[in-house]
Amino acid sequence: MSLLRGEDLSVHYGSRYVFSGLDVDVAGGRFIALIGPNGSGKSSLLRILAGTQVPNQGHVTRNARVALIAPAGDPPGDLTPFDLASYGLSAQRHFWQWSLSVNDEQRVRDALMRANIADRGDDPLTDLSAGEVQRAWIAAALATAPDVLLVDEPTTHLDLRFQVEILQTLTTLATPGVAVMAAIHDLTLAARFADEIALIANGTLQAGPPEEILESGALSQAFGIAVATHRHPQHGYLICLPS
Amino acid sequence: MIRSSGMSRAALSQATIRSQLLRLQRLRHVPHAVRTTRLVVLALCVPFVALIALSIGSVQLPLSDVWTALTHPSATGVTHTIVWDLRLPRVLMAMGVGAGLGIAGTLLQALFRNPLVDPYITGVSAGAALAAAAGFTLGVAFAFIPALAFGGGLACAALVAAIGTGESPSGNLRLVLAGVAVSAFASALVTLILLRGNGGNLGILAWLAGGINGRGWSDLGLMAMYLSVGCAAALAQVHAVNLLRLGSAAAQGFGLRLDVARWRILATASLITAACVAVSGVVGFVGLMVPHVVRKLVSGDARWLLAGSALGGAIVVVIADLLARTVMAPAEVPLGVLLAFVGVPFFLLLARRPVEL
Repeated sequence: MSLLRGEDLSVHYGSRYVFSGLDVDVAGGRFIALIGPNGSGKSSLLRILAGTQVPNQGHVTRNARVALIAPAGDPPGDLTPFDLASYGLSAQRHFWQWSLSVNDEQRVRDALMRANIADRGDDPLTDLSAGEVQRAWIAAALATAPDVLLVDEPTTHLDLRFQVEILQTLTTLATPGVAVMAAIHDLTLAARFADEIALIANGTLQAGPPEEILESGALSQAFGIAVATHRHPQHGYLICLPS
Repeated sequence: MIRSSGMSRAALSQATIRSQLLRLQRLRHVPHAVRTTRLVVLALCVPFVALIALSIGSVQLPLSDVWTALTHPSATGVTHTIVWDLRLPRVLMAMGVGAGLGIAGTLLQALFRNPLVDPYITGVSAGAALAAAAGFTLGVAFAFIPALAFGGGLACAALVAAIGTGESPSGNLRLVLAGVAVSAFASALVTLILLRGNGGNLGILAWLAGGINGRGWSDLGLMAMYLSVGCAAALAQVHAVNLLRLGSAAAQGFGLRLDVARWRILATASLITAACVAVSGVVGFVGLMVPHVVRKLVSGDARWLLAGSALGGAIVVVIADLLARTVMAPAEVPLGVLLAFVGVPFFLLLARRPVEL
């Protein structure tokens, strides 16, 4: 069943059209990698799907709880991952609920566990690596118990090890009934971890299995340079590199 | 106005400030036991400085006499009159104004995601002062002055927000400049109102300079009424304020209805500021300085910061008012002028090295 469906979505900033007439369908149990060149509208699409941006045209049907991780910078340094994850619950708490209830505290602890940051849950964020801070953001979103988790560039500024760890975590979160959609720049990592690729470029969106979407011609046209796609000789997954 | 010229100088070094704004001082984690202890110490300091303020003045009263007068409210005598009729309402009003400005500053800094703002710099105080001055001149009953000031403060704050909001470092500066411009315009209108009064508005002029001399129990009751509504509304915003600490995009991503939250916070800060401005005139920089100091003591979490800023603001204004009525006794230094001596250097230091919110 579709958790989230966007129909005929169009966005323009002033006279610049980012995309128009996009249809998106997000089903549970899948990790979808959203790829595309800079300025193609990945972040705009995620915000529209989350409901934090209104499209210039089209509408979104949400049959599920949606959370978007779109940090604009470092979280405050006085927080711990536990604090950050409990902030994630803030919009759902009544004003008189100053302290976390036992249930909410358990939800936050569970979220930290699922985001694989429970062992550092009470350490200041300033003592954590960039990858661990990214996990804390994911825990904050998971605390809201989303059915659709949208993540804007979770691997940016991370070294290869942390990129892989974050993507492994996101993969484990895409359980039956839960979808994860993440904007990712590294095409090979997207191919390696995602169940489905959504390529947004030149105002259009193509979605499907990695081997269908990550095709040399389509990628070359999308990114404006020649891109070659190979299969890993041992593991069989796709490798996308400029040729 | 003094403030405008000072702020313009700060604004002139735009390029310098913009480059410095890129380097925020990170907040440090404060363990729960430490921040609890610090908040308790702040809470204990409030009655302590209040007792000191009650004992010092043109007539020095021993603390024991002050305590006796306080614990025997139905007694008579000179000491009783000084404590109950002259100093206690003034000290309580100073506490209320300080607490209110501390809370309003915390809310506005969270709302605009800008460490350089307070009710004074965002134009809320100037808008409230303009509406209140117009009300005084037109002979509106004092009970309605805070309501008028609320409308004026909210209008100016909304105008400043419309001109100057943004999340970029240059957005910080734009907001401050918008506040300067709107405040200057409101101040110009106040001057026009004063001039049209043909010199009969010296009382309004003294009130505008900031001060709480000559206020009694009835004024205190009126302020308390508006302030308590504002403080209750502020307590209702704690979760939204905490979410805004993560940035507006992240807050929205976790389900915050940004427009609703922003308007609620702006209205709350305006109401609290209006209650303070109506009785004390324009008292600047309390809402700027206190939250920054308290944030380092108890962390930036809104639940702790609002409580700490209320206590810290109360302490600062009680001490400032004590100095205002004693340093040049028998003359009084306007409270706003006294606080500007500390507040302007603080603002400039903060502009050079802003701290995280």
